[in-house]
Amino acid sequence: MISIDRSIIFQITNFIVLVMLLFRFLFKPVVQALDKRSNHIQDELAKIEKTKSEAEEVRKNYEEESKKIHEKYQEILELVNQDAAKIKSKIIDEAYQEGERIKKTYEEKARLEIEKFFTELKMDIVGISTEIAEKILKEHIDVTVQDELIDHLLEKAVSQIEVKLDVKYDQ
Amino acid sequence: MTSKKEIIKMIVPFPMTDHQRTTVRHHLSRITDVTNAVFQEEVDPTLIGGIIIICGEKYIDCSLKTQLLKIRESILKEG
Repeated sequence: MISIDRSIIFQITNFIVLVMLLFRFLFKPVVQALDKRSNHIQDELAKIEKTKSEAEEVRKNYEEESKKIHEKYQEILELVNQDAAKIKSKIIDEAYQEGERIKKTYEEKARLEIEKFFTELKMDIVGISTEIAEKILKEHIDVTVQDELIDHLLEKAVSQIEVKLDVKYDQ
Repeated sequence: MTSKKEIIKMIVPFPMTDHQRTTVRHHLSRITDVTNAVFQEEVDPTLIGGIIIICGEKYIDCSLKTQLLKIRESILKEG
């Protein structure tokens, strides 16, 4: 017959009681705490996922807005470039016209100066020629020439007077 | 009744000769009565040549000075 030591029974009993007590007061709260922790982590992960999703939405919105702004910027830039081209063209045109006006003014001034110069030159030449002619005539005039001048010039003048009067004086 | 005699003034560059006086009388006789006219002579060397006759309201300029001036003016006008 198998003999069982009482102390062993007592130890087994103690062990069972200890296990029950551990299960009741230690294991159960630990499992509950772990479950709670796990749920908390799940919640945090869900929050992170939600936040990530929201951030992705914000990023998409930002990209769309950025694209719109960029398009708007390109439109404005195009308009500005067009305006700048128009202004540039206008400035060039005005500068060209101003240049043409100044050129014409100076051409006209130059033409007037040349005309003035040639008129003065002509007057000088004519004046000098007249003086020379006068001097030569004075040197060559004598009674015979004076006789011919009086006869010739007076004949011409009297004939013109007769034509004007349209009648010959009848002595 | 006596008629007033017409004065005919002759301006020449140097003193006139009888031949010149006769020539003047001959030409003027075509436009005025020279038989009863009184002729006056004046010397103006600036005329160069020819004669200027002032006969009543008529002013007959046949001087070389005026001829030269006319030529000068016509040349300048043509410019």
